[in-house]
Amino acid sequence: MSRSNAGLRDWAIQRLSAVYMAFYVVLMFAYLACHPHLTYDVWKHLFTVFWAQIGTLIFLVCLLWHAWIGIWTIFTDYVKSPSLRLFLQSIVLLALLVYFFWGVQIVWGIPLVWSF
Amino acid sequence: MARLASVIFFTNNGDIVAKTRPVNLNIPSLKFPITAIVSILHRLSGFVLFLFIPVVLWVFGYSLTSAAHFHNLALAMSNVWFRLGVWIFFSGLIYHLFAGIRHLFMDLHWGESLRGGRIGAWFILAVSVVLIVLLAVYILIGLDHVVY
Repeated sequence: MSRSNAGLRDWAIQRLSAVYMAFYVVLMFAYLACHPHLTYDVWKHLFTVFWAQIGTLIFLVCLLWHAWIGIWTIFTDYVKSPSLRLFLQSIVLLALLVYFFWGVQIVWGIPLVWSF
Repeated sequence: MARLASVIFFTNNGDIVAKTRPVNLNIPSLKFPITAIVSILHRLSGFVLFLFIPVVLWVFGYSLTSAAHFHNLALAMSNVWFRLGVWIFFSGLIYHLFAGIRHLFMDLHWGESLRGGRIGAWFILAVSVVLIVLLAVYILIGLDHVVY
C-alpha cells in the first residue's frame, strides 16, 4: 500500500473532521440548552429530521476517522514492537468498524433487541 | 545523584568537543513546560474519549429506543457513579475541544511563537478548568432540578 501522501492526508483529515465535530458539538449543546426539559418525543423527533440524520452520520464518520488517526499516532509513538502494534491496530480498526455499523443502525432507527 | 559521562558533540563550526553530561536522568527533577503538559493532556483526553465511544453509542441508542428507556436514563442520573462518568466524559470533551482549537489556530500561524504558545496553553488550560468545575457544579446541583 502506498503511503507517500499518507502523512499529509491524515493531517488534513484530522483537522477537517475536528472542525466539523466542533460545529456539531456546539450545535448539539445549543439544542440541549434550548430544551432544558427534554422529553423522549422531542429528542426522537430531532433524529427523524433529514439533516440531523445526515449530519449525525457524517459526525460518526468524522469521529471514527479522527479517532483512528489519533490512536495510530499513539501506537506509533509508544508501542515499539511492530507485531504488537499491528495486532493492537487491527483490534482498534475492528472496533471502529463495529462502532460505525452500530451507529448507522441507531441513526437509521432499526430496532435493536438488547438481550444479554 | 546522576552518573556522569563524557559525550562527544559536533558544533556548528566543525569543532568536536567532549562535555560531561548526566547519563541516567532523574525524571522527577525534569520540569515539563506548560506547552508539554497541555499537549500530553490533549493526547490523554483524546484516548479517554476514544474509550468512551462505545459507552456514548450505547447511551445514545438506549435513549432513542423508547420513552421508558429515555426515562431510565434520567433516573440513572441520580446515581453517583453515572454522574461521575458523565462528568469525566464531558470534561475530556471540553478539554480536547479547546486544546484542539488552539492547535487549529497554530496551524494558521497564530500563537505559534514560544511566548504565544505558552500564553495559548495557559489560556486553554484556564478556560477548560473553569468550564470543568462549572460542569461539576451543574451535575451535582443543577441537574437535580432537571431530572426530577
